[in-house]
Amino acid sequence: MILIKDLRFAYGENPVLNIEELRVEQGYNYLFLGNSGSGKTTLLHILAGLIKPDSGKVILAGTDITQLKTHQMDQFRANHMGLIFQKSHLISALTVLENLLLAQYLGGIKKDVKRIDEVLADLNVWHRKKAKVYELSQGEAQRISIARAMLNKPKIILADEPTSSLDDTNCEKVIEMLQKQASQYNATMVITTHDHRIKLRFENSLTL
Amino acid sequence: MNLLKLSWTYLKHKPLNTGLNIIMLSFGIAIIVVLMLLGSQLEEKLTKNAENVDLVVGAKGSPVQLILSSIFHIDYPTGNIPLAEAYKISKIPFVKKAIPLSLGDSYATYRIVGTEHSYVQLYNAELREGKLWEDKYQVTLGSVVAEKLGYKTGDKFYGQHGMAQGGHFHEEDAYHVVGVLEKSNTVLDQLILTGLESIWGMHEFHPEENRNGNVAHQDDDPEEDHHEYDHRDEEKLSHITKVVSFGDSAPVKIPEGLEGKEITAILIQYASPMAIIQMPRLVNSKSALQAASPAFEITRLFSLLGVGLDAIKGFAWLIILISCLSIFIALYNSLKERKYDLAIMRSMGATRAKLFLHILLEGMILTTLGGVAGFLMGHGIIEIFIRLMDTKNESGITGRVFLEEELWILLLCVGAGLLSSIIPAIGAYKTDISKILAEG
Repeated sequence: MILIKDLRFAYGENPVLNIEELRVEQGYNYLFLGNSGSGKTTLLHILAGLIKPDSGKVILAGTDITQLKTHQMDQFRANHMGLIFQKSHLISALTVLENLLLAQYLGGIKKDVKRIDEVLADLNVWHRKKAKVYELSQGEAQRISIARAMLNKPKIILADEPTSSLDDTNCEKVIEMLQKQASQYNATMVITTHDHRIKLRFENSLTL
Repeated sequence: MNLLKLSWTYLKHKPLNTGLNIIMLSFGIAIIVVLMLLGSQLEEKLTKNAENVDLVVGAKGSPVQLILSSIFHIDYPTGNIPLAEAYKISKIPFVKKAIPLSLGDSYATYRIVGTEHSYVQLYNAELREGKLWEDKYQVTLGSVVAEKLGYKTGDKFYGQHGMAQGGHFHEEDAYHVVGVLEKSNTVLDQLILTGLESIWGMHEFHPEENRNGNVAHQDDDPEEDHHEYDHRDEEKLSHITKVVSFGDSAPVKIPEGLEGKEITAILIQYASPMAIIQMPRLVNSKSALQAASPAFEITRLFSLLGVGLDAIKGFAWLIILISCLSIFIALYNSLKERKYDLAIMRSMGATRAKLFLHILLEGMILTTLGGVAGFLMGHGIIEIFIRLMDTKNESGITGRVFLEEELWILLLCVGAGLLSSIIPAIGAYKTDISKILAEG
């Protein structure tokens, strides 16, 4: 599902990434470990097509995304990927429901409130559907951002430090939900983290 | 959810900012709309009232005053001219048509105008009921006068000396309404029309009368005098009106008994273009008379007013410019707060073009709302102002007409929105999502 070959990336003169080959099969979970500045977020952004590597190939679902034009990459992201970040980054001008409706609209998917209810219920935040973003707790907000990433049933889930701003209880719940959601859609999931609380729960990892 | 709704939600999220920008823009637009509506309606009124009159001849004084008093019936007359002089002027070959006007009296602020039937024909006015005046003291009312006073054919009233309310009533003789004109949307609607001899008759035998008609009348005129006058002049006057009619082409000869008579002005239509040059010179060379061209004086009046109007217009454009600037600043600043929102939208699959359009729409929604609000406000201001200040609606101005130019104003608003949001929209287009997301 994910295949990285001869990947090189540098910020100016400083080489950040140099990966000969990395393969993640469909349905598997994978951790990128490393301290801050190790390049794990950069690698995730390369996988998400947010930045382009200096050289090498990044093949996702049979497509070399380094060859895609910006708008093609946007389209690819909308069709195949769900992104989760350290902070929930929900849009505060909108309600929870509107945030999810926006995800359907931008993903090019028909408005489907039933699907939204389903995902919110899965993540135990259905009762917050009508809430404003500032009314949510951090744990709730992060779960809703997961719901947003899962909404369009992505085949690839990319999560950047999804637990680092959560307490132990919420961290536990969020990881559980991510794993459950990923397996439910048979999605390939890549998580970057320096969080020791979650290392033990994944078999495959790459330390950068 | 779509882009329009998304942009609108962002605007709703900041009601104070949004409200301020809309209000500011709408004020600017409202001023422009008010000026446009007033300008076009005034100009239409002015040209309609003056279009068939090439020259006005009256007593020496301000030419603008002469035009205002004898064509639009708004200012006071410059004075009177001898009938004999006026009659001579009317017989100059350059003159196609000459209409005498005798002003000075009013009733309930509506002016009583002594004239000939040709004055009604000048505006192609038609009768709604009754007939045009024929005998002395018969009057035909303009439509607005009849409507507001509730008078109809057969009613009687006493004329009042002077043009403002509070003047002395000519209680010796009453005017008889013999007809009412159809509404013509000209100055005729506001006038009470009668024959010249009625005006002369009203002012006959008042010893203190002066040229301007500003007279302290004696209320206790001896009854006998009146009878005497009536008997003596009745016959002569009816005979005279025929002879003196400005419409016919009789030789210049003022009949006996009319030498001392005066009128206020004559409206003249030219027979040939040559007259444009010759007539004013010819008239102005006579020491007691002056000639004024309505077209020229209206243009002059507008150019005098124009300075003030231009200043207000400039002020309105300044407000519009500032509100565009304010919208630009608001959007530009909001980009900083919204960089995560924009980045996250990109991560969800939004193209750069979509974000560009999203910001552009925000500016355009703001200015369109401001434009529509200003448009409604402008029309509302005129309508309310007219209802409060001009209860008789003499001006005939209304806020319920729509000009083609106003569509341009709305279009301009959309354009202004585009202009003030294009730089922020470019900013949104260029958002470096990787960098922003890596930060937070």
